[in-house]
Amino acid sequence: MNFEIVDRGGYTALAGTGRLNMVSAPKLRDVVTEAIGQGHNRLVLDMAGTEFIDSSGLGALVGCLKAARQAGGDLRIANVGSQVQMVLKLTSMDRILTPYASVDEAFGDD
Amino acid sequence: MTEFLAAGMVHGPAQPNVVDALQDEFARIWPRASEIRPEDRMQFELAVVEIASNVVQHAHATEGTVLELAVELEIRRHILLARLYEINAEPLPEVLGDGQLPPPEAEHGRGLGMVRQLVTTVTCRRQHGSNVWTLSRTPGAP
Repeated sequence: MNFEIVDRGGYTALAGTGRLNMVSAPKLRDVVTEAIGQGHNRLVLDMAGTEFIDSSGLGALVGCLKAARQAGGDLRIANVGSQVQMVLKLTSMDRILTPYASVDEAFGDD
Repeated sequence: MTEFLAAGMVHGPAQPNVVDALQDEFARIWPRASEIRPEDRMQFELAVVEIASNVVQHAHATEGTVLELAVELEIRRHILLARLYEINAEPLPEVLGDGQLPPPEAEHGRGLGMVRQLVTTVTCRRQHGSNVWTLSRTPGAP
């Protein structure tokens, strides 16, 4: 999985392309840790290009969410596809990681 | 047996890149089974990947051997079938659990619980020095 990071002013957008599985999950953690270390604690993960997620990917998402909140910010997800949506619902993860319809909407209310 | 649609095979050292190879194999065979609903394909593939990842992360080789993973995939009109062989692996303890998932804020421990919810049957047995997982999903199952 490859990540693109774009500072959008009030937040930072990360776009991941490919599969978020046990191979790529550590990379997501590294990318988010680095972004938070650089002061980017309001993060939106654009999942439009994320074609697959498994429990390793979910674990990484939870870890990144906790790290962002511990830094005083938040991590939100947007543009999830049908496979990601299925996994979030199956695991009840959609209760703590509500998918937004677009990157712009993720921090649109605050 | 019901109508055969596609088959796949992956075999290699039980290291993370075997999981990517497995998903590449799914990507290769799914176009031959286009009549299987996307929901069934997604849930079956996820379950197989969860078991493969579990092998890579948690299985141990017997002394003096190298742990390998072999996966056979068989897609038929009325059944999706996978056999995963943990070759040279130590015998497994009772690992299937009750299918319960940890709370949403947990970072680990979802894999096998998810598998129980994604497939119709899942078994694990000891055979000729390997642990053999067999997963099946009936297309159209909840």
